[in-house]
Amino acid sequence: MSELVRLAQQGDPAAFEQLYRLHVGRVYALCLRLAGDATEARALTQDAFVRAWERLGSFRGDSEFSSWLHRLTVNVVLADRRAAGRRERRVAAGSDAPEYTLGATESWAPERLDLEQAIAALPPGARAVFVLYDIEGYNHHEIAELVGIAPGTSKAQLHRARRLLREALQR
Amino acid sequence: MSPGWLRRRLDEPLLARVRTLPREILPAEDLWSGIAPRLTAVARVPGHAPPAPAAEWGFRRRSPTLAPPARAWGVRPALAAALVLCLGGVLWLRLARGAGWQVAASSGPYTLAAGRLETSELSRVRLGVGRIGYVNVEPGTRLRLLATRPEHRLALERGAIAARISAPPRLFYVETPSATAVDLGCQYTLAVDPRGGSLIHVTVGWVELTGAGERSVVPFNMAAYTVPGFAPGTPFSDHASDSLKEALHRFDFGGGRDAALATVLSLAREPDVITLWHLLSRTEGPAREAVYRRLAALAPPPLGVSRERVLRLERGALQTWWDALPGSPGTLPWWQGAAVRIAAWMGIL
Repeated sequence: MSELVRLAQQGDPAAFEQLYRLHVGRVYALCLRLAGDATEARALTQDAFVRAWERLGSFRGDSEFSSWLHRLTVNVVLADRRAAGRRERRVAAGSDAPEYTLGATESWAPERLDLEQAIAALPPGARAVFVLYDIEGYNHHEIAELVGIAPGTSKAQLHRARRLLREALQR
Repeated sequence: MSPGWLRRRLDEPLLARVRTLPREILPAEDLWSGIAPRLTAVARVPGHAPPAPAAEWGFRRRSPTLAPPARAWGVRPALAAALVLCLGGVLWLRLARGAGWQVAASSGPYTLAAGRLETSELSRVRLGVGRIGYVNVEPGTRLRLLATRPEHRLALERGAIAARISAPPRLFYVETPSATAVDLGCQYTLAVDPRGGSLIHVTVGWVELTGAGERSVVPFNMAAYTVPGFAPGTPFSDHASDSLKEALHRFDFGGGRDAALATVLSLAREPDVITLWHLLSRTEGPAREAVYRRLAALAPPPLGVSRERVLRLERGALQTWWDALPGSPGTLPWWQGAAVRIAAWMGIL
């Protein structure tokens, strides 16, 4: 376990700020790609670091701190999405909105130019699986457990995401 | 449903583009100011508590699509292009130099006036760099277009860019508040945080960082931090451990350099030899000797590179050792190395 992590575990905010400076790039990139929105990503990044501070005592050093923080961030983002989904379902009570169509709207505007934009425009469920599998390197079983879906659904969402991205990038 | 081999074939161009995505993106504003006040308000989980749900799973991480070995194949087309361009000669160089900036594409609102380009929180711009490549300007970015002659030069004041340049070295410069990134023929992402610090991550080729009278050469699959008022940070590998990166950060920008160096040396592995090579010229006396011993253990010096010559920082000895290190031009396939050497022969590397 690194010295900074040990100091932060002992409650040293300066050490935790150093950890923040070292890891904010990975955490923000993950939040941005999962959320598809910069404003939301900033809030989620802050939430992830506050949660990390809260949970730091449970980090035993079995894995790299970055892996632990990464996993915690995924949990924060997905929990936020589930909460947002519940809020939205309460507002639209009685509608048959599919699980992954909450949140971002799916429009393939012709001016969407590059891969990041195409990823941001994916339906949320497909985007989450694509980001976790193709960018972050999780496998389907991990994704299934994180997102709360079956591994087969994760594979189907991945294929759907790739197909949508290919189509978007060919335009 | 299409058979697996067909799907893989269809997906490959997409996955090749995925490999070029930056691993790190710095937010356009400093988020720490919103985190620090909240830390005192939360109840911390004590050390003996069970781990957070799903926070430390025992899964073995599959190599992501961004895995370096796959990405390393991307070097070939870029360097092959560099070789062709070098052989193209002076005429092409003259054409490339002086060609202007062009907004090749955009999404969402942006402003471009008096040589300043600024994207909104939701917009992106693809900026053509003469005839040598392009820069993707990410949301929340502000930059100044400084020059197109004798080389292309811009200043990144905040936000992030992803540059893809296919040209001989030293035709494209990016100034940040803490260092200047000099393109040596490559692809990279560069982000500047609100305090003027930056993080560069190179995916193809090399980038030279200069500032405060020092320089760092960041090869592909490596990254480096810069902080205002300090020399550019020592490059570190994508495979470097968190602890090594933290210690390196303390060595470069914080206090306790001796302890930090000892940590770096104890944690350094084969992927970290470029890091150690840089540390030779950033240390003195016994510390430099310790760096030499660790580097020599991981990558034995080639013939003619003696301990004494290295400790005296003789340029020829350091260069010969650098050429023999994994990831340096000397260890590339002949056609990649040739591109770099021709560039060096032309005096632009």
